[in-house]
Amino acid sequence: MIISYNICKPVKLRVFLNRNGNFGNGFLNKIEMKTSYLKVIFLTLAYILVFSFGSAIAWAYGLTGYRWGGTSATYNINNAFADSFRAAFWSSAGAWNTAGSRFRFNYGNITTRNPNIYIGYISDGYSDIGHVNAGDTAGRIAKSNGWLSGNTFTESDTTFNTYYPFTTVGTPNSNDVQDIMTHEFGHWLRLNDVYAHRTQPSYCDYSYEATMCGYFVNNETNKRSLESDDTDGIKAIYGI
Amino acid sequence: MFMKSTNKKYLLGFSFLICLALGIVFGKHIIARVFSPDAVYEVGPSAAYLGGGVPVYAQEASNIIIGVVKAIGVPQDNNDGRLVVQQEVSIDVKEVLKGDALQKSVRVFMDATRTPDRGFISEVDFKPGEKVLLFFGGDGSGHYAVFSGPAGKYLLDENNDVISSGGEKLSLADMRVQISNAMKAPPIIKHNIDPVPYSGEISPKQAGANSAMKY
Repeated sequence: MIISYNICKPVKLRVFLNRNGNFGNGFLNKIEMKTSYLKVIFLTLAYILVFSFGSAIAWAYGLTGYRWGGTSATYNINNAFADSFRAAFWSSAGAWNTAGSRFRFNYGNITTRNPNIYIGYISDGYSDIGHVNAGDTAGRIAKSNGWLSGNTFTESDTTFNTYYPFTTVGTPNSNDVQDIMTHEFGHWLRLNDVYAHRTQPSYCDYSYEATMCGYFVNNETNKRSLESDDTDGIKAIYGI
Repeated sequence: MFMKSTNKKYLLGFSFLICLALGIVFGKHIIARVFSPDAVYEVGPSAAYLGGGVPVYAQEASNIIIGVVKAIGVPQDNNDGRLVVQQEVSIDVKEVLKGDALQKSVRVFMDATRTPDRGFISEVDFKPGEKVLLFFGGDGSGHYAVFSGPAGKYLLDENNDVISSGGEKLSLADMRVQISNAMKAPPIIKHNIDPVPYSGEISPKQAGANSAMKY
C-alpha cells in the first residue's frame, strides 16, 4: 500500500505500508525525497538549531566566584531610614528569600551604624544598609561591598548616595529604593552586574528587567521582582 | 536505504561543509559559552549606576573630553584596613566637550578590588594608547571618576567612530550632536542637595531631606 503526502509542491513523501497497514521495520528505507529540497530543509534546520542554541546560551547571570559560608545572612538598617524605606528593604530581601534557593536574608535590627562605602569602610562584622552624601557625582547611586575570609563572605554593606533622591512611592525624578536594594542584595549574594542580554547587546537599561542589570533610570521598578536570570544565579550559588 | 546512495554521499558531504562553516563562524563563541557558562569572576565594590545613556550623562557629567590614555597606575590600597582600592589613569586631553577647557591632562580614579586569588580588578578597563571619549563626575574626594562606570567610556576608532563599551557604534559627529542637544535640554535628573566633601560621618540631619525620605 502506498500513501502519498504532498508536503509542498513538488515535494512528495511516499510512505510504503506493509500488508498489515503498518509502517514496518523498513519504513525509513522507503522514504524518498528530491535532493534539492533536502538541501533546503537541512540548511534551514541547521541554521535554526544554531541560532536557537546561540540564543539559549546568552548571558544569564554573573558570578563573583565567592559566596557566604552558610545559607543565610543578617542585615541591619540605619536608623535614619523612614519606616517606608525599611519596609522596602524587607520586600527586597523577601524577593530573594522566595527565589527558590536555600539562601535566606534575615532582618536584624535598626542600627546607628552607617557604612560609607564611598570612602571605604572598616569591617565591623555587621552587614548594614546606610546612606551618605559623600559628594560622589559620578552616577553611582548606591554601592555595596563585601568582606572575605578566605573565599567566604562574612559581611556585606550597602550605602545609598543621597546626592540622588530616593523614593518608595513613585515620587517623580527619584530612584525607587526597593528597586535598587533588591539589586544590591543580589551583590550581597555575590551575584555580579549583568550588562548585556539576549536581545540587547549593549548596556542594559530599563527595558531589561533582570534585577542584576547594573543600570537604573528614575522611577523604574523593574528590578523589584526577580527574573529567571536572577533566580538561576542564586540557585547556582546556594542550591535549591 | 534512507535514500539513493548518490544522494546520501552528496548530503553527507554537504553536511560536513555546513558544519565546518558553522564551526568556523560560531565555534569559538559556542565553546566559550558552554565551557564557561555565564560566569564573570570579580568581587568587591559594586555600584548601582545611573542609566539613561548620553542624554543623561551629558547633563550630569562635570566634564566630557576626548583624549588618549597615557598611563595606567597600579591599583593601590590605602592600607588602613578600609576596603577601598583605587586605580589612577592619566589621560592626555585632546578636546574638551564639557568642563574646564584649559585642561591638558586629567587623572581619573576608578574603584578597584583586591581579590585573594585574582589580583586587582578595576571598575573600568583602560589600555595605554587608547583614544577615548570620557564622561567624568567627581568622586567626592577631589578626583575625577568615570561617570556611571563602564558606560561612561567610549572608544574612538581610526574612522573617528565612537564605540560604547557595549559595542554600539556611531559617528563622532553624531555623538557631538547628542551631547550638545542633551546639554541644552531641561535637566532629567534631580539632586537632593549640592554635593559636599565628605568629612566624617554625616548625621541624619546633615544628609538633607526630600519629600520621600526622612533622615
